[in-house]
Amino acid sequence: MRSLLIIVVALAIAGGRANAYPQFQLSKDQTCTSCHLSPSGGGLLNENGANVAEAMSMFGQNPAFMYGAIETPDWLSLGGDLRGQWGYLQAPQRYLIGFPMQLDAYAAATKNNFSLHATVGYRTHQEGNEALTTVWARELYGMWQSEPGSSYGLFARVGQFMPVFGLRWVEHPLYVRRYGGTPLFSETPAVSVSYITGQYEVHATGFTKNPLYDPVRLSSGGALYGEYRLGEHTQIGAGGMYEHQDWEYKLRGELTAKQYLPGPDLLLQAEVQLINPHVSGYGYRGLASVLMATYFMPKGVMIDAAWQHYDENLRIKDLDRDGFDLNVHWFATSHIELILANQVEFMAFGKGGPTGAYSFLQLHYRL
Amino acid sequence: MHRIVWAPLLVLAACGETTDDRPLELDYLTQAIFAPTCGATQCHSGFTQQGEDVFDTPEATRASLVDNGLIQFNSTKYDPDSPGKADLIIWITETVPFGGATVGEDGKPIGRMPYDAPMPNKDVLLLKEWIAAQAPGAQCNPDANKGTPAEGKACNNKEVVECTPDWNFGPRVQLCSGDCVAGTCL
Repeated sequence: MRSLLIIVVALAIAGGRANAYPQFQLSKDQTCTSCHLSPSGGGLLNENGANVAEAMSMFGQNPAFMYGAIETPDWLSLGGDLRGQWGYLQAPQRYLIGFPMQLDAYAAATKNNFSLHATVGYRTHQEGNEALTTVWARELYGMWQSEPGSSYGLFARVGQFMPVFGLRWVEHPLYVRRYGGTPLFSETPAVSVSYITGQYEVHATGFTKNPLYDPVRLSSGGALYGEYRLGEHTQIGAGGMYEHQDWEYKLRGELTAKQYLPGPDLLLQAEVQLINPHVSGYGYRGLASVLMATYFMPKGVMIDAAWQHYDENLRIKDLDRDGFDLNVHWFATSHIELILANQVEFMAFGKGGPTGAYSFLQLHYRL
Repeated sequence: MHRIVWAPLLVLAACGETTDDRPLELDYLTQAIFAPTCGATQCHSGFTQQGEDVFDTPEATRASLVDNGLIQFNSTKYDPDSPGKADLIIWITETVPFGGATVGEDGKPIGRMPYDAPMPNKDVLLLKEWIAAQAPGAQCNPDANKGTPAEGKACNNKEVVECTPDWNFGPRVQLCSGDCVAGTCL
């Protein structure tokens, strides 16, 4: 009988963070900037985003920062996200675990066309260096916006942030993030220019390794990503990324698509990335993809069903893995969300290795 | 229109050949296996350094493998003869590695690695083949045994050998009549 290891893990195992939900683009509004201050989405909500949070939750409540109890001047936006999760993990050893995922505070100060954005919070510490590595500024950037307060226009950023690439999923374990060039905590010094309209958006990012600490992103390079909306309910996208280190480089090309079906209130999203790594004169191709269907139920419930596929090397048989996800989100109030996240992962459909799985209950509180 | 949008995305399905031509070379193994599988952000990345093992660069990978004894070349434990018994392979194949003797900060046995998702059998097999080929690129640490007569030397089974700057076995220094451990004949 396999042993069942019951552990309650505090900070050691995993960290987490959250971006915006790409599930809301097209289903709730046209662009990420309709609800978020950042041109790539995620982090602080604008007024429309707060109203959406209230409207789609079961019990509503004042969606403003701290329920509106703390008023901030017009030039200052504050916020935060707290997440923790508990549940079952099989990889294939079995655990019952619980851990904090995210303790982030956000601030944005705006004057005319310029703004300064910071995300400060908890991170998984570096072993042996806990005192200096438990709290960090994951994002810190200055931004110039051609049309202050608008969701559209030209956005230029410089500082530390995640290169804009792909659909920008919340779920960092998704193959298209973990293996796809935007893994957890891979924010890095970067310069980006984004141009966003109701019909299309283009994001160009140049980035480099952060020399000030041991970063997750060890490469320098560039990313270009664009989305074009074919009407109100359909969107296609494409992008490319180049990453370079002194011992290797990677090329990435990808396609994305979204289709919202208003009748059944269903959103289909897909992201397919072809990865072309090179090392020591050996080049090969891998593939990471996800296809997700999201059903919006009345009263604050959202259900995601996804199929993910990752192939480390397309030339070699049985190196692929498939993940089947079923996530149920309950937006209880404007600030509280409960998520039941489940996945079963097969290696070459059982021929390539042990089967993995997890089932986690996650609590998310937005300040 | 919808079909036009979705069709290209669905065309890219998995494929593969049976011939495994992947190089038995540390840089490749780091890029394709160690970094994405073991060196994830919250595990053995330079960012987190769980258990003082780091697998996201070739330099860090070889240091972790050699300095922490995950692959050994002493005559008392010569892993190329039995790759399956190398500590590295035990960590990634046994549900309770070393019978649960290695415990974490919480006092509980540390389970099979990777902690968060299984590793494909073919990657485990490739690592075994690499160890059987004497793990080029991660054979020894040229800075080992500092300040001792065995400085810069390592064991390759019964032989004491020089350790080259690229962490590989160099010329033989001595053939031991007994065992060879940590660059010294016992």
